[in-house]
Amino acid sequence: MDFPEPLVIGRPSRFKIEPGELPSLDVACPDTVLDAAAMPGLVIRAVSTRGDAHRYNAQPRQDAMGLWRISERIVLACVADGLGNAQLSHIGAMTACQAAREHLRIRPDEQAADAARRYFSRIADAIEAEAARRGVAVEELATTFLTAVIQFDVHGSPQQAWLMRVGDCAAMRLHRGVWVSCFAKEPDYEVATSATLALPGHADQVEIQPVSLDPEDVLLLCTDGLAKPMRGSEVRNQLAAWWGSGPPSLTEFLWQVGFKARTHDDDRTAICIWRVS
Amino acid sequence: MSEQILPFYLVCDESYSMAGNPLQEINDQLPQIVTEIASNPTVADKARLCIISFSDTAEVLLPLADLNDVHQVPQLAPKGATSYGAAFTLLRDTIERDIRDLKAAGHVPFRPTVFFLTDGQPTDSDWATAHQRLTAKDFGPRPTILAFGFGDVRPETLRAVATFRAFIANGELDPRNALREFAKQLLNSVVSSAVASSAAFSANPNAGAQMVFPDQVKGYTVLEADRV
Repeated sequence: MDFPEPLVIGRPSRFKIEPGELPSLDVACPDTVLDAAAMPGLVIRAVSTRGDAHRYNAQPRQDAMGLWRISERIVLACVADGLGNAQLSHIGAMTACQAAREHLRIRPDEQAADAARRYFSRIADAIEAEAARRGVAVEELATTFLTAVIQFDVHGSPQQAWLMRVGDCAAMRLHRGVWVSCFAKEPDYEVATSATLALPGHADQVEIQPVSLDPEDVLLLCTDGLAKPMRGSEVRNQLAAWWGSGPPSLTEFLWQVGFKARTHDDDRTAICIWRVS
Repeated sequence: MSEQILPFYLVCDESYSMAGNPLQEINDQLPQIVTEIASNPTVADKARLCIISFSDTAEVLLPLADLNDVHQVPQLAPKGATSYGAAFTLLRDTIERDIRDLKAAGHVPFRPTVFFLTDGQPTDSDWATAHQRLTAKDFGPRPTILAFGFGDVRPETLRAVATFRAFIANGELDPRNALREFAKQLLNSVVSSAVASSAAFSANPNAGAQMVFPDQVKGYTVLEADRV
């Protein structure tokens, strides 16, 4: 049986890029990581995969992700996108995800905004500590970061997610076939810029957004490597068609996120959370 | 389908003083630059190049193009005086139209980059007005300008033209080699910027920061741009 090539959306690139030489690294940073889960009320598919530019230039994937069951009441999902100009941004992205696992504390009496600032400043501290350990400037580990704290009720049923982010990772809800941004609308620039807020520098500018998890909806957390091509309706509609009818197999999910769209050659990370009955 | 586009503008002096080796070197280098960009997989899809020449008047020699679609690279020919005003006026109108067309086609253009090359002082007196119109804050797609000069141009002129950085030949290289170095910097900047723009690039929201520009250029002295 022939396995299908990646789907091309829009004009094809003139080049076919396969991973080339291995990047020279002191940590494990594979081209692609996959994860998946199913629990009462939720099915999750997650992938973080290297973009063609990094594959061609033998650079590591600068995106990272994490997915953890914290307690009976909490599941944690996060995505990070190390900034392209920072030498060790892949370390920054990985460190942010790991620190998000270690420093999550829920205090029922605390205001959400205070809790988010405290949480993100701990994550920023962890990135700074890693930079110090490596003897490099903190800017070398700069990363954007988005996390979803998914809360379950006493019966184990998923209720809502608290989204927190610094920088341009995106959270979207697929509701009745239409993608809706969870955060307030992104600013519309006259010309595009790659500038973004990032950790550890901008921990105090964390944005917070609660989202309810309604039956049949899908919550997508992704880095800008997917969010940017999703500005085009072809990609938005294709993903809605694939994911609106329920979770795909894990292999299928990887193939879907690996679509080719000309000039969109950044790393892509997507965590998809289906609210199922 | 929305594509990410990096527009580059080469604005080149072709006044009489450029005749001989300088223009010959530019004409020799341009096809090589085009070939190199068109054959680099991480650059070719994103980078677009426009070439504008100026003397008494200015002319679009190569409209903003995907370099894989360019089969013949235009050549510069010496003529006339050195009207910066004509160059900046045409550049402003060309950028405005290009960016509008790219956006209308659904694409996402990044801030344009201009490589401005001259060997002489302007022969028109009111070029600053045209420059102001090009670089004004209320002109959304105002470009980032790098100015390169050799021959008679004065440092203060280059600093006023550049919005980012200027380079003036210091006599270490002959004009031919100085222009080869200029061509190399243009190519490096296109390639590095296209690679860098694949990923979010800067934590400074005020920087136009996905672009990669030279800090030092062999045979040139670096001048910081005047604040616009």
